[in-house]
Amino acid sequence: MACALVPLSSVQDCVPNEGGIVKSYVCKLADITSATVTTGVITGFTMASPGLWQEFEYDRDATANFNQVGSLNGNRFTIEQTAFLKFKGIDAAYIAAANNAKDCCDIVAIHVLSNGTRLVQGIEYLAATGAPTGSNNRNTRIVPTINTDTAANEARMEFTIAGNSNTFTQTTDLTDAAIEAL
Amino acid sequence: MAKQKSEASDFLLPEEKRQAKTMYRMRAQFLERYPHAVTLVKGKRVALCGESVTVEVPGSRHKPPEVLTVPGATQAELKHLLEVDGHPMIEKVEE
Repeated sequence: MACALVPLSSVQDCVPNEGGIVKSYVCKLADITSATVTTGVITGFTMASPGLWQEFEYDRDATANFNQVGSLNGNRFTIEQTAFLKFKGIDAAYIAAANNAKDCCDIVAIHVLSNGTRLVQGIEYLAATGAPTGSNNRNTRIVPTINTDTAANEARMEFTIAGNSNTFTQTTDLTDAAIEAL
Repeated sequence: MAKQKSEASDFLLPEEKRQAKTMYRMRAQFLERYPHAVTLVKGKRVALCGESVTVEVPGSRHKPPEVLTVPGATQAELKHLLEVDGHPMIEKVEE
């Protein structure tokens, strides 16, 4: 990407500003063979086989979020991308899910924001249709945590999906039905 | 002198003989690596290999296991993928 500046006005543009994420879909990077890009938006995925996107439906209690924090090391710009998802309760199924998820080396997640925007974490920005590459600086992985906490609070499983990239995540216009149909 | 047997193509004009059939298909290197690749064409799930693909999807707490059958992409759908979406896994060949 080349240097280019554009005028911005949050006053006039009035972009929907509801925070948080409400739902996510995840798969392994290796499951995606190609992504279709139209004017900078991912409009389709080609998957290695059907049924590979998995839905994460986590607690809606104003804790789930996806943040992309840019930083400079000298003249080197990188972006730390971190999603936080919380699932209340602990049981054998959650423990199995955590043990399996921690072993995935490179994942891709589609996060549905409260304002309806859908962000694709785990792949570098694709300028044109083609095979996606994972987050260049550090693989995007799920880091599970399982806390009983105290009796005054809730037991829970937390997933942190973290990676480090050179570009901010792209949006996708794929609906829930389209993602689930892949 | 015996007459040579005529072929049907002997009666075609030269330009008709030159007309080749255009086919769209998944590139061989991708077909070998991703024989069950699927995508959406206008919201419809299709298999890029052009033939029906059947896979078993394991169940979860929320849904039972199921067997998914995906229809093969038609020539029109493969053409759309290549010429509209610029899909890198599809090629056009003349037969």
